Order: sequence, then C-alpha cells, then structure tokens
Amino acid sequence: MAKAAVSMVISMRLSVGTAKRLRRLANRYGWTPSDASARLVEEGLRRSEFAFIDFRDTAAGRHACIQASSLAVWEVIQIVRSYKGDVAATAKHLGWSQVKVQAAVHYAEAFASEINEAIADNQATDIAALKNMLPQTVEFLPKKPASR
Amino acid sequence: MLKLLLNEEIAPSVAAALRRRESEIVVSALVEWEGGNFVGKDTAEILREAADQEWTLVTYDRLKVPPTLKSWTEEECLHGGVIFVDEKSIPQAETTMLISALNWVHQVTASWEWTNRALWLG
Repeated sequence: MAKAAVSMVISMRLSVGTAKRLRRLANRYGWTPSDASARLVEEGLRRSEFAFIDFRDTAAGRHACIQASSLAVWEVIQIVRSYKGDVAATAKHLGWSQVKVQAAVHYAEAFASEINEAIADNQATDIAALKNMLPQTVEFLPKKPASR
Repeated sequence: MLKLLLNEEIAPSVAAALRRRESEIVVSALVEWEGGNFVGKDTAEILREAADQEWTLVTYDRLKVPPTLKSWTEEECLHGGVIFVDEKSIPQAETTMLISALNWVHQVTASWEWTNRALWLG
C-alpha cells in the first residue's frame, strides 16, 4: 500500500496494552510505530469507505483483497481488463455478483497506481525471472491448432 | 499422476469443460475443491494442502505464489507442482484457449511425477 506523499501530525492517546501491541506489529514488519499506526488507520479508512475490501499479508507484501475470496484487487482487475472492462463478463467468469466486481473496479480507480504497480510486478515475473526464483521451471508451449 | 487445481482467478467453467472433454482428467476449481473451504485462504495455505494431497496448482499469479515456493525450495519443503499461465499468451478471458492448453498439458504430462515441478505455460 503506497504511503501518502504529504502528511500531518496528529497525536493520539492509546492504552498501554494497545501501544505494546502496535509496537510488536511494527517490529514484525520493520516499521516504526508511527508508520504502523498510519498504515492501520489508512487501511481502516479504506475498509470503511469501500465495499468488499479487506487487507491481507502475502509473500509479496500487504495487498488489498476482496472479502471471502483469495483474490487481491489487482487480480480481479487483470481479469476485468482481459474482458476489456466488461464487469458482467468478469462476474460470470468468477461466479460472483457484479456488485463485488464493481467494488474492485472502484477501488482500483481510487488507487490506480497501487493496482497498476501490482499488475506490472506480476507481468514482470516472466519465464527468466521465474527460473531465477524456481530453478526447476520448464517452459511448455501448447500445441498450436493445425493450420488449414 | 497429474491432478489440476485451478486457482480462484480461473473460471470454474474451465474445470467442467476439461472433465467433459477428457473423462480421465482429474481437475477441480478452487471454489469446489474441499467443499470450497480454501476460498479466501492465503496462498501458502492452499499450496500446503495441495502438496499434502498431491494436487498441482494452475495459476496466473506470479506475484504471490513464486516467493512462497522459493522459500519452500530453499527450506527443502515439497509442493505438489505449479503451472504458471502467461496471460500474454493465454488471456484470462480466453477460457477456450486455456482449456485446450491444459488438455494438451494433461495428454503430455499426466504420468509425470509432479512433486516440486514448475511449468510455464505460454
């Protein structure tokens, strides 16, 4: 999740227990407690402002995801783009309601750089990059249909 | 033996079409696999259960899946094999193309030992 470029200082009073939990969470991610609280507030605001949005830790960082799904928002948007922006076709593809797909689209419109960056990172993992990470990777080319 | 587990970004209709096309193929969409209990679970959890049951994951996800498998490989943990589909060659919307490609993979590799394999389908 991208951090806002401009910031302002707001002090807040936390219970000792909450402050300790915040520090533990910050240590886990290598953040400062201030960073951690800013990120949690930002995520909380996005959760409250956007339907169906949740945040999850993944091996590739923390991503905006769709509730009750394993898919990150960027994955849903990749499918939407594959259907040339057709939300109904995407909903049919996933077996979801259109509202749920539309929620992903709205989130991606609001945080376009975050979603585009994730899609670009996914695309950048080509066969060469994959072989670097997983040396056992082999390429398999599907049989081309016979030409007439 | 190859058993295909289609990740959530792949239309469940692909699994049904593959079964219709080839009766011997073992394929399941994530939404139907294990009663749908793994929908909403994180990648590592899905890969762990797939490894235990010797299913091979088919996915377009090259952001979250490879780092997990990389650390497993370094720790010498086994996985059930993964097929990465290249969206530039087989876009998600082109389900007919994906069905043909997976059918071909099955014809060629059904008897392979799939543990720890990684295949780029492009």
